[in-house]
Amino acid sequence: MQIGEPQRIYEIPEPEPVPDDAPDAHPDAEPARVPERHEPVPG
Amino acid sequence: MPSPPAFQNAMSPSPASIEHRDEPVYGWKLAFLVKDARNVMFRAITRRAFYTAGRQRFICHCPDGQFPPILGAPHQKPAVGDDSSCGWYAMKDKRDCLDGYNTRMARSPDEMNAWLLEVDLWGTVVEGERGYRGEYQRVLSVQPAGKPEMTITSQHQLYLMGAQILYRPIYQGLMVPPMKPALRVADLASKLGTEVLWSDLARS
Repeated sequence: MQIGEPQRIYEIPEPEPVPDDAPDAHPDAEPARVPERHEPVPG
Repeated sequence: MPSPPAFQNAMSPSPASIEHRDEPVYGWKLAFLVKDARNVMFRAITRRAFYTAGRQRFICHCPDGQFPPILGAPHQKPAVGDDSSCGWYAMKDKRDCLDGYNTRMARSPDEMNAWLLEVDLWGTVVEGERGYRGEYQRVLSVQPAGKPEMTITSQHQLYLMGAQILYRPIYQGLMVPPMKPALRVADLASKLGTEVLWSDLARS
């Protein structure tokens, strides 16, 4: 692979890792509901 | 006529010639996909080197002119000099990268399974007129280097060879057999650890 005559030399810090492809939560999604203490526990 | 940069004749870049840059450089390269029983990896086009998509450091074996030859000490990073060519390579322009490959169609069919890789490079990076070579590399995405709409026989063949990782031919006595999916794109992406741009073929 011919990249041609050198022109510059860089020193570059390590980039941030690529984020996982896991989908973000939908912005309109309801938050997870935590039952309150006085609610009956289903049998 | 301007004089060449001071670092051009040096074996290793002096600190004064190094520029600091915050973001990685970005480029394109070609590679083969190889697979064994468990893993799918990349193999360099021009040498027998294997790598995966994640952060890879280039292990340099070039002699360093700062040491006597008898010591044979390699320099640790890409450098600029007459006999230094080490580093992960990438071209600046996607089309330049593909055209460079298309001029070498005389390769044997088993070596034509080329894929186009989108990479970024960091660490010590040497910039050339048309591309880079760097100390570290990461593969951001991969796609077949051939194009399905090509009508030139050899390039159509290139596409078929590029597709063999994903599709297996169903032999029915035809010159160009239909292809049966052998591996889902998502599974290939999972095995490679990077994005696979399969649906972009028609637009690229």
